[in-house]
Amino acid sequence: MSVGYKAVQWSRTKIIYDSILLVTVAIYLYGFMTITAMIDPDLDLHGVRTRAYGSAAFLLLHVILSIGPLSRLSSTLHPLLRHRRHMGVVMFLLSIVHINGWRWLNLPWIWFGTDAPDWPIDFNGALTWHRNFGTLDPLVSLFMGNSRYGDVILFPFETLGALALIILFLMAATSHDFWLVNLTAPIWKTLHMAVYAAYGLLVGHVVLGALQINRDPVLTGAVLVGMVWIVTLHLITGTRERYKDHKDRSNLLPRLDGFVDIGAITDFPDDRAKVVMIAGERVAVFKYNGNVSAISNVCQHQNGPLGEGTILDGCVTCPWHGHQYQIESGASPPPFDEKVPTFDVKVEGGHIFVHATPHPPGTPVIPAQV
Amino acid sequence: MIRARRNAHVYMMTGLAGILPIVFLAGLLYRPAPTLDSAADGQSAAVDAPITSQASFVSRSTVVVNGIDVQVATAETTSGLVLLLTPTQALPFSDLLVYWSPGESPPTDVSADAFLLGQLSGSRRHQLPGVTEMQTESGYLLFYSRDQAMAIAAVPLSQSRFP
Repeated sequence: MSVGYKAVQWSRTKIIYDSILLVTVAIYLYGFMTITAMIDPDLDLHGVRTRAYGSAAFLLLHVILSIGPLSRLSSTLHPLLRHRRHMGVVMFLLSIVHINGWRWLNLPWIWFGTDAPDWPIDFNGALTWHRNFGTLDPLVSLFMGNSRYGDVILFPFETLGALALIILFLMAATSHDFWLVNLTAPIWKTLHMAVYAAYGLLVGHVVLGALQINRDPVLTGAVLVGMVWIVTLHLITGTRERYKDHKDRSNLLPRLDGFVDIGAITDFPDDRAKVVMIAGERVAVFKYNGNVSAISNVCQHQNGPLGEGTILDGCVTCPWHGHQYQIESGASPPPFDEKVPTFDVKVEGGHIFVHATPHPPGTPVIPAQV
Repeated sequence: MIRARRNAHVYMMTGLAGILPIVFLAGLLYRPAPTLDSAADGQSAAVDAPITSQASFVSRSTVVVNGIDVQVATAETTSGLVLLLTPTQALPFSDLLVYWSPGESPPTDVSADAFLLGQLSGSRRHQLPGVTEMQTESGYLLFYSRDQAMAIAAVPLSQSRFP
């Protein structure tokens, strides 16, 4: 949704959020390495750095996975949704450094057959542990070093991490509106829901890897708390959403004329929407300036909840990424071309009725008068 | 999200809620015991012993091995004289071993009279035993990659480093 193509739509807010993110990550990495070296100066720096980058990526994944359900519980966290993609890309880069260090910085020089300069940060990554600077290819060493695939406890945890990395790569590579538009929101969203599989794989990677060697109860407790937090949070919000859907599907049934009684006018807040489930999908019904209009609750950008957005300049504004739709037609204002389905609405006997069959996306509908 | 994705989300999280606690508990309850038996492997235990607070440094200096600084120190501890080697970064060689080799000229390979002191992986401080011969004879510290079957460097170890 843009007039001229821009790779990243930088804005002042985005720059501020990204700066906070990068500074926080840098402080964590510096703190992890410095404090660990102070506690035990005899520890291998290579191992400490590997754990620093790996734990930073794992922690950031917890933050990313918390934003969605927390924003369902509190709308004040909606702005974080707009910056989640940048966090995801940073998390992927941290994972790459955890595995392959900063050696990828040398690639351009290697491709041209020259010596790379000395970088201030010298770190080889976890692959070096498997390769041990030997002549065996690091990937061969990684996947062949432990072949106990039939064992639960001695299962090669590296494979779990590698599978998670493939998922994270696909997500990071498609974390752009170019892919969102070309794949369409439902497919893109399905692909990005694979993050839950990646999370499960990474918990297995940590439990069967780091926790096998490091028996510190604090580390074990931290992994447990993170796991319980993520799973519980998602189950609470997910179950809540399902309960709402189930309730509406049981109560909101169309009459013979196809209209559904969705409640008394007095139950509807002014200039806001009430979201109801009609004919298998959610509809956002807005009451504004003495009018009532209904559009699909599903934003075309990332399927965000339009009904939780506000009306700005006569347009419904998605709370996730700010995409706008004219309330009476479901079409984005020019020059944008996104459209959502609209619904016929009428008011009878102090109740609002919405037709169960939607109009094609972008069809203008005369609002009902309250 | 559309309803199909909301349902998929709940199914996936329910699956994770069932699987992850099992993985977590199994990972902790059945994790194998540490493989290094210090009592049975005295040499490994001596080599990997932590530096005690009673360590009294005799000498300290820095040598260059393949372009990387390695701090070399000798110290007296409660378990005897030790050699402390601390690479400032990991030496990029496979199965790196450290020998002490007697002689006046730098060795180019592991000779029959060389003493194996220990391994030198990573960049942590390694405590190696200070064998009696290195305290009385001239010799060299030989850095040798066993996997690559090549000598990396030989640095002289003066007897003046020892009391």
